[in-house]
Amino acid sequence: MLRVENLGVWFGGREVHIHAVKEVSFQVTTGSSFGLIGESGSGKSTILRAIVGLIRNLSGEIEIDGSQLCVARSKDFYKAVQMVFQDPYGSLHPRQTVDRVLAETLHLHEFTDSEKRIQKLLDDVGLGQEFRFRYPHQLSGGQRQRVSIARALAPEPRLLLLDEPTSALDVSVQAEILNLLSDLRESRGLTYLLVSHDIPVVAHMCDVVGFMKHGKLVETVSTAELRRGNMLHDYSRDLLLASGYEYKSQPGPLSEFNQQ
Amino acid sequence: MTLLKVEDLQVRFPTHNGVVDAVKGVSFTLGRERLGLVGESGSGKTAIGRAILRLIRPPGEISANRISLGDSDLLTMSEREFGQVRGRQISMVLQDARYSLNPVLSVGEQISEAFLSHSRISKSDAFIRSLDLLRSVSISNAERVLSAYPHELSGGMAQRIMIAMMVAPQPQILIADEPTSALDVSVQRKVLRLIDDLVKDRGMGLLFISHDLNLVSEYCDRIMVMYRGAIVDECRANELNRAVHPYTQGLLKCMPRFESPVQRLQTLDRDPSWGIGSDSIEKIDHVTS
Amino acid sequence: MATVYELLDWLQSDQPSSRTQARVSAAYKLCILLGKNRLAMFGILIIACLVLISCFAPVIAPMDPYSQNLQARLSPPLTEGHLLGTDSLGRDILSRLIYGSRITLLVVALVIAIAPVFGLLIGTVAGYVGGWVDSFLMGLTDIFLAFPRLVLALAFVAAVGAGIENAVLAISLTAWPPYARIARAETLTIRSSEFIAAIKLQGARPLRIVVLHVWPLCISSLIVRVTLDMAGIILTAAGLGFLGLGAQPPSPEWGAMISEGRRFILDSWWVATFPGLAIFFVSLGFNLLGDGLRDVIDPKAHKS
Repeated sequence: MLRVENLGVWFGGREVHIHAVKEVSFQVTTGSSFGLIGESGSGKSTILRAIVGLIRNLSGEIEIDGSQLCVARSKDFYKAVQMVFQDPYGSLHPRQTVDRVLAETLHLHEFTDSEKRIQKLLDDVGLGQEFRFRYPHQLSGGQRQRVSIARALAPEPRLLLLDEPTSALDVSVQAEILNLLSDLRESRGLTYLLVSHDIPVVAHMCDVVGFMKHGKLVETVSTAELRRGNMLHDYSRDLLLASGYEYKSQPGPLSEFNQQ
Repeated sequence: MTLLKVEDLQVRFPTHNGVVDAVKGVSFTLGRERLGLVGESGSGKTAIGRAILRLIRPPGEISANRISLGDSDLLTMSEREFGQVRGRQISMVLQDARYSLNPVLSVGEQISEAFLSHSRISKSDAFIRSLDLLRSVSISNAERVLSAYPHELSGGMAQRIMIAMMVAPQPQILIADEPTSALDVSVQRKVLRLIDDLVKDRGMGLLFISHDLNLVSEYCDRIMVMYRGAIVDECRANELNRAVHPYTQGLLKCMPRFESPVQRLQTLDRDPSWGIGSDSIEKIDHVTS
Repeated sequence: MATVYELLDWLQSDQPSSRTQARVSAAYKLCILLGKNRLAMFGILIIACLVLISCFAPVIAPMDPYSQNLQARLSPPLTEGHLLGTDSLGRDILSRLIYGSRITLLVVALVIAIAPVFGLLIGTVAGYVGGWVDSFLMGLTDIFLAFPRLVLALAFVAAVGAGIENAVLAISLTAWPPYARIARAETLTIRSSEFIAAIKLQGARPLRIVVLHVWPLCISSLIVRVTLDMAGIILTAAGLGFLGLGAQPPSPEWGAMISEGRRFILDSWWVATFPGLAIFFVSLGFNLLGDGLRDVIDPKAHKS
């Protein structure tokens, strides 16, 4: 489905380069779900932005379904690949209703039966019709994220790029959104590329996981191996350790104060 | 030993659509312990921390039967007297320290300023004390950090400096409002350990406000769970998995578990009766007394 | 009564059920917020009066503003038939003020139609496209900003000839650069936001993004700024009239009226005073409205 070969991304002018991503290669097979884990600044979101063409300074190859992408992405590309952004507050236009957002997306992709499609999209992402004419400020964070997902689904893509889709949400809402994403993947046969700093979320959602550090893809393992802790690279192990899933709570060292 | 006692604290914000009850009659005590206050966004957890320090801005209103620190009543104090409490006896650490530091002054200037305003010492003494302070929060290249400006610091470094400044006047109580949410996991651990050491060494009381139930259960001695402005559950941290309230249980279950994979996550069915009614408050009285 | 409550419910609903309702209720909420601001309402009252007076000028005005009566020249206020007195040619000042409101309103409307639109276009294009286009357009803006406002307007009018239309053009010429700067600054922040990235991913062309997505967000701060500037624009128009470069006699433009009255200011104070008061009140009205609008619709003011 997606093949990234030797991808490099840099920021800055001609003289001063900052390499945000260096020599990253990975493949995502059709129907699978690939996760990228890394701390802030590791370049994981940059990879997604490079794939969809929001960043133009890149080297290396990106292939979708065996055909290599040229610099300017075509309409067909955006029909096949869509993205859900991290910040549910920033990814919706503050002056546009849900209806307007979806209608415009459908219009740009030249669908004619947008009335029917908007209704179906809202149902599919678990928002009722009563949300259709609301402005973003009348929605909660989870509902906004559902709108973002509906917008990404509108052109009927096959590959969905998810950039920390739940990191700004409460855990109870996160569970709802993650379930929604799993259901959609099943019902629509989608392929996911998920970026997150949260190892349990990635382990829950993905089949294969890549660890990013300082712009490089350090290691790629299957989720089963990850659960067993079979990582080759120290960094991946440290990250797992830091996430606290080997950290067992001890009786509070302050308890002696309480007994005084 | 009880340091802080809060009884029936209420925080209200009038808006043009009516009054919003951010905190509805919360009571608790804080001793020399690490008390975790957990809740989702909008549950009123931050409002509690701010209300204790009288940092709720008008038109927000605070009312309570009692807020006392040791023997002194914080409710009836004048604003002037309260100035002696805020920052000296009760300190607060916020989420992103880089926004709490003044962007146009170097770190050294800000720390020395705090020393100079609190006690009569010379500038060079203040500088030496600032160095010691940074070293106390295990910043190795303290000289360089002192001459840096806030935007040149990493989030973790800025948070350490903030913690150092807050703990310097030897307060009895530290309120930490999501002190690590803006940090990467690896840095998070270090900052938490730092707070822990400081609190332990000085025998302070810590009110740790967070949205992360896992983190709080590992880190704190006692946990209070907030929902819609009320404390719905309270227990010792190591007994969290025996928590009775369906909200707490729901929160625990809806997190993806690394060790035990599931196909679908459980979601939380919110019962409208949670967080209202007096039974929850009674239960808390029962636990604390 | 029931229908009134239903209408209010419909307007205040947080769950609008149609496009129209969503739009109307958003507008209604803005109006409610604005309505709570007493000073802004006073400003609106002044401007509404101005509009009504200029619409019904022929009905309200007691006399023809151009008819001269040299026998009654410079009669003081409250003389019979001349509530506010007469000027040096015996024309009724009240009638001239009433007709003059039409000219003021025309100037305001024309400047609104030209300057902010032009500024918005230049600013958003510069901000969105960036690169050398940005440098060029902002350089141009800086050149216009470097001239003192009245001097640039004077030079323009002197070059193309005096008259109210040219005065409007001259004012617009000096008024657009600040709007371009504001629009560019706003565009720079909007450009990097995720909702713009999201619409790019739907394959939208830059022109569409600028017009449909960037403009609506720039417009609110521009409206505020234009309203606040309106006082200055009216004063500039009056100033040009005063210098004889704006509206030409005998048209009852307020600035030109002050200019005429200047000669008699010591003996017949009313000739210059009443048009001056009219300018003062209209400027005040726009300023109050602008302040109120800023509180309500400028997103940045909300955060503080």
